[in-house]
Amino acid sequence: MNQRHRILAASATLAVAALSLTACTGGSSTSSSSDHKLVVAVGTAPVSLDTLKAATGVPGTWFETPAYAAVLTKDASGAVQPGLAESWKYVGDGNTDFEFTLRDGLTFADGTPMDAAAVAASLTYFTATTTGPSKAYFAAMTFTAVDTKTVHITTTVPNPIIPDLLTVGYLGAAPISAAGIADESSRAGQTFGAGQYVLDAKQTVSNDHYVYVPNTKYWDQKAIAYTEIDVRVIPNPDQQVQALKSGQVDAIVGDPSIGGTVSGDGLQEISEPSTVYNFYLMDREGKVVPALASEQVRQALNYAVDRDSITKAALGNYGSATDQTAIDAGAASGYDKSLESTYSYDPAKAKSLLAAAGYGGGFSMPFTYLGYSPTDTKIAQAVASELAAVGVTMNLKSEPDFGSWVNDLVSGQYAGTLLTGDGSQMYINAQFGFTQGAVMNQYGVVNADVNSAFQKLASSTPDQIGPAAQALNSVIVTQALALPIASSDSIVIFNSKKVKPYFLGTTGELAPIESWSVN
Amino acid sequence: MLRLVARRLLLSIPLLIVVTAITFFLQSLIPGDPARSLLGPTASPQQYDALRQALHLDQPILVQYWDYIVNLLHGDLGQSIFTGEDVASTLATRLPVSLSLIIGGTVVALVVGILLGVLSATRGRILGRFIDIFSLVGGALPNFWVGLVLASIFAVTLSLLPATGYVSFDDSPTEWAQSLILPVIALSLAGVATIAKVVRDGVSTAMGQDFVRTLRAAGVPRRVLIWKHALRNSSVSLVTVVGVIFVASLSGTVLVETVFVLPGLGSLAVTATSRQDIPVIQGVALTFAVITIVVNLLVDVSYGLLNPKVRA
Repeated sequence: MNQRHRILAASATLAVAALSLTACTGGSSTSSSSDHKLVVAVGTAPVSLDTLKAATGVPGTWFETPAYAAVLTKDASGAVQPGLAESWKYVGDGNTDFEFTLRDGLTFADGTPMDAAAVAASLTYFTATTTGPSKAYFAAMTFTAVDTKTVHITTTVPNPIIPDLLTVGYLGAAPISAAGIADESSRAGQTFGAGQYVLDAKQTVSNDHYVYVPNTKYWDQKAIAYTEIDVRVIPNPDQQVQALKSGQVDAIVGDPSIGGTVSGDGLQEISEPSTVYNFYLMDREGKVVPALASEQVRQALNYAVDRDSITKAALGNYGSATDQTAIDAGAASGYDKSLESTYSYDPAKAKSLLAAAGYGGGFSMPFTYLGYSPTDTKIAQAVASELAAVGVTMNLKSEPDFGSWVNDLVSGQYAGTLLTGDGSQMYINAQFGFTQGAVMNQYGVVNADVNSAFQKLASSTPDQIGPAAQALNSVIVTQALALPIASSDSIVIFNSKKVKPYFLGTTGELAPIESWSVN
Repeated sequence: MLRLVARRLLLSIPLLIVVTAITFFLQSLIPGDPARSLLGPTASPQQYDALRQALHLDQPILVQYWDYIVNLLHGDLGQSIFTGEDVASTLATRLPVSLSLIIGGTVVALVVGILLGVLSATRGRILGRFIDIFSLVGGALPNFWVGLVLASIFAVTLSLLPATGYVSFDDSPTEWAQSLILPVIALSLAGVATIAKVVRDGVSTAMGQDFVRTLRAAGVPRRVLIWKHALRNSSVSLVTVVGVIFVASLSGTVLVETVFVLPGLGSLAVTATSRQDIPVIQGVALTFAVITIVVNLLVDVSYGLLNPKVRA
């Protein structure tokens, strides 16, 4: 070996040695392959693993549902099925009392027994303390352990969808152990549930990847399909696609920019309408923008936007223009096809309505939106442009982060905001956007027609829910309480050779990742 | 030499204080509210106020900074606002990833850069021109773009290497090396170009000097002239450049780690800044500052070893 070769060999050895010296610790985001390991990618890390603070909806719940089992579950058709509870029923009429009965021998992942008292304590704690999106849906409920297996729910606001709320998607009915309830700070980075899996803290690196391993104390060991679930944070959609194509991940949540463009061996895509892009017109009593107190003005805004063009530009084939805040997801959504022609694009009519309301010269209204979302930005800017054509100036505040947007929302300075709403359940839809305590009703506007229709819906029997939901939807649309733009699809792209994700019937809700079947 | 090291270490104390102060006050100017991010819009005013109080966000910024410094002097870097994890523990988990990347990138830049530089200086004009062009292009290409192109070719098209992710050495040395190859190349490209240029200039100059002519006349073989004597002539400037490349790689990791989704300090800095996770931001900045100080100290010590005049 001559000197040059010796130098080369020494350099190479040095390089490997130097790298080795620094590589003895650190978390791993990939481990050796296994037949039944599920790896999924999401765009953003969870704000917290605490179910009291976590986001609902996909893919936010991918960090929660593996480790937290719920009182009830849903089957592939979207019908409610037993979970931790083996039976459930409304007690009496009026949707104010409800009971469920737990299975025998349940335990939390930490080994502590799960009886009715523990579940009631968890539900009570969640309801009293949560700051998550589900807060309003549980707020009126109280929980009592009747005996060791039975929990009784009483709600001061009649509730026709308690079985739905007890499934895992809303996170409230996914019991937390006593240790978890006692240790709020630890819940941010650890799991304290009774789900099929538990978070493996040793393999997890916060904000990068979260590894879940089977919970040996889960009540139904046969249901545990994977030896490991790895939820990785890959911020950029293009990087997610690269990881999917190269076989590093098994499934990703797509968006309209990549939907339909990903092809490869075994790669498939599924999509279903799930949410609606709405401008929530919060200031409906005109505290910030007096013009918005006028129903004619709000209707004018709805006539002024060309929803078809905006939808095509922002969502491509993964959205449909809509005049309503509901999606076509079954009777409980309140969706009414006949309402779709309520506000056909008609700028001339918009101008005449504005003039009739005394705002023929136009007006300005401040709106805030989540500027870090490309789709939100496209829609917000397109709508602002079209409103300008009829003399209405929408002063948009683009917020770079969620916290700033929340600050705007509660500041009392903005007339409204753009946000996607869950349009699959009118009871949820109304409590999110239009009833007095709704989070998207920051000015606490009381609308007698909304209240009346909501009360009827709330106390409906199952066969009355459809008509009651449609009646409430009709109030929202005809009084133009919002400016809906488009329903938007949830998109999942996956390796069909390894997993089979699925939507729950026509609800637009994606099945929890731990329930995806192994191929 | 010891006096030099001691003096540098003493000077680093005010530097660290300045770094923590600048980071602290700059991050306070970032719009946003971590308490709001954590709680969302459904929190009551009481819950919001309680959280701000718990996180000391209700205190004046000077008080917050003072508390931070006091805790720091007690070895307490605090906890992440969002995950609740100890910042020191988080940094300890992620530091090896970044150091693997930075040291790997620097070593690759050094080895390849020296080879190209020497070849360019000794093998004629065409290779020399190539090195010049490579230096310009290599220095101009953004490392994140290079990373995306590499991932597209070697991970997606050829399926040779992983597109994203990191495997620790403990789990699998082979997969660890595979997970670092593309990021290291992306990070080292600019360094390779710079080092090649420095070495080429240094060796070319040395080869024309009297001491080399004398050694050549004395019968010293050409390879010894080049690799032992001429290369040594450019060693001081090489050490300077390597130090600069290492420190520049700290900022380079921010983008490269993001592109390849590596759980290092760079990606941690991005996440923490976007969320205003103040203790984590401070921890990352402090770690980067300490690394920079240590590297500069090593460069100074190297000067002393290479040049006795500096020692005196």
